[in-house]
Amino acid sequence: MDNYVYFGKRSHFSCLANGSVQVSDALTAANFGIVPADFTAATATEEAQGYEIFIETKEANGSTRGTALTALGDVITGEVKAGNAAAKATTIIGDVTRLKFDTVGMSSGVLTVANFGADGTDGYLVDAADRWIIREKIGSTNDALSDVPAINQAVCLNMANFISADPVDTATAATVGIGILDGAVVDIDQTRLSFKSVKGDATNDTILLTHKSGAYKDVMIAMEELANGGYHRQGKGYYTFTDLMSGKKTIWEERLGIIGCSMQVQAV
Amino acid sequence: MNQNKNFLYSANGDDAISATMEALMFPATAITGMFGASLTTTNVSIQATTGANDNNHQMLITHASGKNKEVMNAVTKLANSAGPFTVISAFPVGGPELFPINNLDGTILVTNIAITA
Repeated sequence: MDNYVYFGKRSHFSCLANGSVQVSDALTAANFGIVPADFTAATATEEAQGYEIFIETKEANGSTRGTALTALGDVITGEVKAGNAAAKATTIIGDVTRLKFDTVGMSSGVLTVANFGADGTDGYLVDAADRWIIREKIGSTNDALSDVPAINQAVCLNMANFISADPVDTATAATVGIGILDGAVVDIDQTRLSFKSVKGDATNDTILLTHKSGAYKDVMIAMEELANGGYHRQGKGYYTFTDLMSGKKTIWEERLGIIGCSMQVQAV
Repeated sequence: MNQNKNFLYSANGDDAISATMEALMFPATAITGMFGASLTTTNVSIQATTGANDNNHQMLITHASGKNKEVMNAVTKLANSAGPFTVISAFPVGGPELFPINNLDGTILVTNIAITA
């Protein structure tokens, strides 16, 4: 008798505005679970694509944020900046702005946003110190992301096949770890869980958990609980560890501050 | 010594079982993982009975739309039942196919289980 654990996907990625600041780092299967389909600016909406894209301001700048973005209000506080046009276009440290797809395109996993100079309505001039947060949107109309089941959207694994839990370095310049948890931007960490392959070959399947900072050990303790827990002795043994797209919180999501989960399970 | 293992059994849509993978019996602990293959099918991977280190067997369960997670839960309950011989689906000779897995959750409405090597 074994315990089985269900992991549901909600992709999450964050990065510094590296290199050419108007583009994000590339979203890959390894860091985001999937490479999103390409789209060009003004051809999609957040609801249709199923992604939310935020910029956290880390350097105060004028002539930065388009009027339509300002009108959406701050993602964290909800405040809509008042004042004249110049004031509305100015960002201050700590602002979190939701980008609109009117000026955002995706190519090979890289997001590009038009700058304020090119589009004073929907553009955003990204500062090199700013930080991107990209995550799947709950309730989008892109059913292919989560509503139509497929491999790498959700998986139920036998804890007897659990191999290890390893911290993922999110402190490098390229992959600064931040996320939105309980209505605030917080530092986050990631842990990669390894399981013997569902397919049965020598390549492990992996789960990438994004959780509150410093929760590595707590994630590992949770894995031990799941592996050794006695639930299976009651003729049950099915645990839902993450189901983020459901909009509800599992006890582990609550306890560990889990805000992202993606997986790389080999096709069988 | 008595092992007290629970073995699962499933027949593969044919009451005249006569060929490879028309039925399969395996220890419950051989299930490596499950995932939704579509809205109406859920895949259960089972360690290959050939001993090969690749290409596990697959049990594809057809069920009511959107019930993937519930089906995984039901399979888990069967795997962790007292056993020792637990029937997921069966084809009594001369009778219709039976799906005892449906007794665990009245909403999943499993209608077919296909086994592939």
